[in-house]
Amino acid sequence: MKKGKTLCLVLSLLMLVSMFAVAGGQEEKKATGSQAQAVEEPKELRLVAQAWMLGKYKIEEAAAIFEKDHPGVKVSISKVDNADTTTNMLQWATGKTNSDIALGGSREQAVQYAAKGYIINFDEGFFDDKIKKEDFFPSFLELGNIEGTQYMIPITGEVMFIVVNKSLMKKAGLVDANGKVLVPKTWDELYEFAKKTTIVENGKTVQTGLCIDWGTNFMAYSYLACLQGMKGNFFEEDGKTIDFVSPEAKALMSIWAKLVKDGYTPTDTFADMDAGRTNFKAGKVAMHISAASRWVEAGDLLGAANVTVMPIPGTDKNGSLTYIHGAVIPKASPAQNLAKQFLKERLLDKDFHTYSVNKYGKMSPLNSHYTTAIADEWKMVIEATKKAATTPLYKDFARLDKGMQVELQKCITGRQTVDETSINLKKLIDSLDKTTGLK
Amino acid sequence: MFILSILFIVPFVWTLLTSLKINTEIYSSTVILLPSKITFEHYIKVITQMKEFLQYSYNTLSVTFWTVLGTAILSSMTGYAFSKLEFWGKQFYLTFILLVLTLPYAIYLIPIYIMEDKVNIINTHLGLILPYIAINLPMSIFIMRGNFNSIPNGLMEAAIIDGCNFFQVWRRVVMPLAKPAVATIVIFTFINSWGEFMMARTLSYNPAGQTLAVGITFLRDEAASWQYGTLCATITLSLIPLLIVFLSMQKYFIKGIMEGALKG
Repeated sequence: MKKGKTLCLVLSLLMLVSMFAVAGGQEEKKATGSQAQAVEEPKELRLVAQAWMLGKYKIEEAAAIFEKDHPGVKVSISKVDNADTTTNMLQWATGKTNSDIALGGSREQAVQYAAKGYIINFDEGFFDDKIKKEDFFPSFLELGNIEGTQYMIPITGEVMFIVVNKSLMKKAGLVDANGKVLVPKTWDELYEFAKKTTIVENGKTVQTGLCIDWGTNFMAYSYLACLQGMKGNFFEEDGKTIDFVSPEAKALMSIWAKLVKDGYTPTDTFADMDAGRTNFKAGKVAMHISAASRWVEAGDLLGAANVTVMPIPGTDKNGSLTYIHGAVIPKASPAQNLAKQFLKERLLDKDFHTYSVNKYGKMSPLNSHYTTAIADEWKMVIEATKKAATTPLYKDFARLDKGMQVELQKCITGRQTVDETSINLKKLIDSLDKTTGLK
Repeated sequence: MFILSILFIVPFVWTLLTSLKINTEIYSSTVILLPSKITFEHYIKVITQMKEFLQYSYNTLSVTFWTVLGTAILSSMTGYAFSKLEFWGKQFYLTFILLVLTLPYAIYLIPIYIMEDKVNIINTHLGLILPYIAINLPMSIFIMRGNFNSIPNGLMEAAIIDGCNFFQVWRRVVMPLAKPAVATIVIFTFINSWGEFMMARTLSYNPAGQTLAVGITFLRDEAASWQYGTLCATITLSLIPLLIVFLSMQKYFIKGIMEGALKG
């Protein structure tokens, strides 16, 4: 028994020692930019992109062209799912990386890397005569900028619009003499449009007038874009706090609730964030507030001639809201110069973007790419993008986003008055850390 | 019972039928139950768009196989020790295992990453097999221990009198009686490892180490949305191995549960 007891103790000790030996004392191996540059520039470039981007952009072709233009250089491409920062943070914290360019994600992700000093600053040696800051849409560039420093280069941009099914609008008589879809100037007009395009048969809605992306991925975008159009900005007087208390903010909540109460706008996006997009593609929705690119996407199923876009009321004058997917370069990368070169030569190349603009409606971040003759819809989209605002970068934005979903859903479904919603959201935003999280 | 069965089967049938429909029928404004024309376009899309499909499948099979094998062997040995042997600290170790069982395994993700990084097994099969075994072991030990508890000690004593050594008692007398419990463990571990996502995503970063659960998410569209045809084809494909394992071991699995294999 004594022998057994000793064995048990020895095994337990061995287990503990091995555990601490492997896990303890993780040494800091942060590779600084200069350290990485000191060694010879490697000939392999590793690009890690969100998987959907490989479907909508000719990234593999871009890699092949780059290899051809730079003999001896090899570009490898790996996929990741969505913008999850865990894997990158873990890798970069140990001074290692499996990517020289991490493609996808937005400023919310970049700030987490920048705060730890894991990504390079593009203000140092990226912009030149070929790629100037002025070439970009200001809002897209801003979405890669954190406290005045460019940590992310926008690769693709989106802008909030109303995607429209022309056939359904025509049936409802909402077109002019030339067959052009009428554009509502105010939310009251948009309400009337939604009313006219909603069809109810035997008590069941068979055609929806207006669908608004209120899903988990779009609630904040929809609210901010609509308020931007109504008010000209979405901040309180301090220019920093998102506004939930002004008459315009309350008017917006009221009209959303009214649209739902009267049956002209469904709430199915609460449960299924793709419901609006899916139903629009099925031809069951006349107008859909979402990203403008959905217009081109839906054209595949509904026919390009049957879909168009129109500005959310007021956004033609005040600008809409944009968001991006950008690229960052980790400091741990030994191929930083090659990565910058690839970004400039290929990922910001006009031909690279033309395909995705035409096929999927994905916007190039460079205004200079839109010099040739383009469709009227694109002119509208570009104008609204030029004047567009960006989502503020709050450290606690995730909490706000969640809170907005909860409170606005209650308001929209009539479980809470507009005033109660306004008070609750004001309390929430006042309790948040509204610094960028960089420091 | 029949109604209950229908309730469980309907989502699977609906998924299968949707995977065989063309997009215009999937997105049709009227509900279409049966496809007017069967199409395999979504399956072709899954396989062609996921160019590394075979690599992911191989990785998944390998990782799952070794995880199931490791878990089955280790849990049957440990379960036997906890059930039939007396040793110092037995109760403490048992409580410790129970404690591990109550913790969400996301908690170990970062320590595991750091440890694996130190020994350079990130993005390898071993890098997934080891944590998977660790995750599945506590529950499996409890299942095996419960099963061994129901085997009378007299049976083992008789075997020892007949000349069996300690290992032979376990191998030749006890294990054949524990087949239903082993089947239960195999199925549970298989399901847990085959579809595990969080560890697989964090501990692997390219097709050499990524599993199907990770590869499937690469078929998602932007903003984490799915094309329904692709989604249904993917679900159908991913269910096939699970169905094969479950159906082939169904008899033992049900017996295992009926005989109290899940008893603590």
